[in-house]
Amino acid sequence: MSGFTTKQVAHLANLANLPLTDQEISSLTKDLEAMSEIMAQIAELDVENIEPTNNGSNNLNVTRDDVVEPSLTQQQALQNATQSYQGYFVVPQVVDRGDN
Amino acid sequence: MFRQQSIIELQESLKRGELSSVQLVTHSLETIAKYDDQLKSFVTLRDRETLLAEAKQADETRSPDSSPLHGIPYALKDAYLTEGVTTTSASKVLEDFMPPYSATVYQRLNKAGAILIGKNNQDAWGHGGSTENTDFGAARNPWDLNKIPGGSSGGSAACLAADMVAFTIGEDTGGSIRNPSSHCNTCGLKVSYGLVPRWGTIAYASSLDTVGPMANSIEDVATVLSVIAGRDSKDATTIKPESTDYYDNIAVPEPLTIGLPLEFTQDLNPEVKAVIEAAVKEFTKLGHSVKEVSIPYLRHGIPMYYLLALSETSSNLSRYDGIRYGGDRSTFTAETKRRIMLGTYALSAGYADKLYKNAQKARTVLIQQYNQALKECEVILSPVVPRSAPTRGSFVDDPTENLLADLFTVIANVVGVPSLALPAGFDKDDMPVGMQLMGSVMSEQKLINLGYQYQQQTNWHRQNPPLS
Repeated sequence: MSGFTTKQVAHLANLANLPLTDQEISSLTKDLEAMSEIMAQIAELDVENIEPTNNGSNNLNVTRDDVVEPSLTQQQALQNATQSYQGYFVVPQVVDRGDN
Repeated sequence: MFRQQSIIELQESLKRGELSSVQLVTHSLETIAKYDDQLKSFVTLRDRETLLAEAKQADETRSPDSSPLHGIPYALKDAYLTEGVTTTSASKVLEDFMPPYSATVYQRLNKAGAILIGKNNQDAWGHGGSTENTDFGAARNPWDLNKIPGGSSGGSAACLAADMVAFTIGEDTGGSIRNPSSHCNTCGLKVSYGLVPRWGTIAYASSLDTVGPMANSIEDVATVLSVIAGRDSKDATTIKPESTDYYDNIAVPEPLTIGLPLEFTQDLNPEVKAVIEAAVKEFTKLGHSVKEVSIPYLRHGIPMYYLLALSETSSNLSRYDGIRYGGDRSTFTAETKRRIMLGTYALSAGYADKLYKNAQKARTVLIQQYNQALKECEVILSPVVPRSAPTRGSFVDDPTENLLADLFTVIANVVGVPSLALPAGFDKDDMPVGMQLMGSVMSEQKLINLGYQYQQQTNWHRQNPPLS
C-alpha cells in the first residue's frame, strides 16, 4: 500500500495515458504516498462477505423502445475534432508504431 | 434584487407589469460588470444584445400561465452542455469546446423560459472544494475576497451571494453544491441520485454525480426543482418521483425526529458547533425533537468516497483523448492529474480488490447503517463543512486537506440520498456557516418543508456580503 517509487508512478501514468514530466512524476510520487495513506484503512475493513454496491440507483435493465430517433449530423459530430479528413476523425497511429 | 425577493414574488411582479425581464437581465449584467472582475464567478458570459433580446421576447410572450421561471435570469455551472455556448468544465482541455447538443437540465430550463446569463466558474471536472483548480482564474468569496468560495460549484454560489442571478444549477458528487452554499451563505440541494437527469452533464464520478438547484432561499430551491426534476429516457439512472410540484406542496411539517450523528459531533470546530447547537434550539422551538444517532461507518466516509470517485473519474476522463474533441491530456491541472493517477492506482492489477472493491463493499455497509439510523429519526442534521471558508491557497498547498474538507458531505452521495444545505449563522469573523438536512431516498419534499419552516423563523439567508 505504501512506498511509491517513481518507476511505479511512471507505470501508472502509462496506464492512465497521462504524459508527465520527470518533475511531475517526482511530485506525484510524494502526493500519492500521502493520499494513499488516507485510503489504506479501506483495505483493512472486514467486508469479505458483503455484496458490493456499484450503482447509485436500484434501476435494472432500463430500456427504451427500439425506434430511430434524431441524432447528431456528421458535421456536428466532427465540429470539435482536432483533425478530420473526408468526414472521418484523424487518429494517431496505434499499430506498428515501432515501440512494441 | 434577487437576494431579497423570491422567484415567485418576482414572477408575480413581472405578470402584473410592475417589473420586466429586461430590467432583471440589465440588473444581472450591471452587477456582473461591477463585481465579477474580483469574484471571477463566471467563465463565459452570453452576448449582451442576445440576452436583452431574449428578455424583451420574454416580456412580450408572458401570460398568466407562464412558468415561474419565465424570463428569470440564471446561470449554469460550466459542467452542462449548452448548444451554441462553449462548455469548458473550467479546464484548458475543453477551452474551445462548442457542444453539439444540450443537457436535459438546460433544455428543461429553456422550455420554462428561464434566461441563461452565462456559465459559472468551478473546480475543473468537479475536482476540488475551493474553485481554485480552474484554468480561468480562481474564484473568490464575496464575504471576504481573501477566502475561497468553496467548490466545486464555487462560481455558482458566489454569483448568487453577489445578487448576479436569481438561481444557478450546480453539480454535486461529494459536496460540490453544499460546500460553496455553506461558504457563501446560499442554499443548495443535492438531490436523490437520479432525481434530475444527468444527460449532457460532464461526468466526474457516475455512480455519485447529481444535478441540483442553488438559490437564495429554500422556496426558490423548490421552485427550480419543480422544473428540472423527473425521468428522462436519455438517462437510465433517473427515477420517477410521485410528484414534482415541490413548490406547490410546501407545507408546515408534522413534528419530526431529527438525528445528530455522534460521529460528526465529536471534535467539531467550536464555532461550527455553536451554529449547529443554535439550529438544534430553533428546530426544538418549532416542535421537532432532536436525538443522537450513530452511523459507525461515517468515519470511513472520506477514503470510501475518494476510492470510488477517483476510480470512476480516472475512467470517465479517459475519453478526453484530444481526437474527437478537446485538447491534449498534458493540459489537465496538477490536481486533476493527481486524481486520475490515484484512481488508476485503485483500479490497477493487484490493488483493485483491496481498494476499489472494498470501497464498494464498505458502501453497502454504510447504506445499511444509514438506513438503520433512519429508523430512529426522519431527518439527519449535520454541519456542511468542518470550518468556515479557508484562506485562498490553503487547499492548493495541501492536497490532503482538500480531501478532508468533504468529511460531512460525501455521505449523501455515497448513500444516494438528498441533502439540503442552508445558511445557519456566522462565525466570529462574520463568515457564513451552513448546515445540511439529509433524509431517505426521495425525501426532498420533507427536507424542503423543514428548511422552509426554519427560514420562516430565521433570516440568516437574507444576510448579504459586504461587496463594494
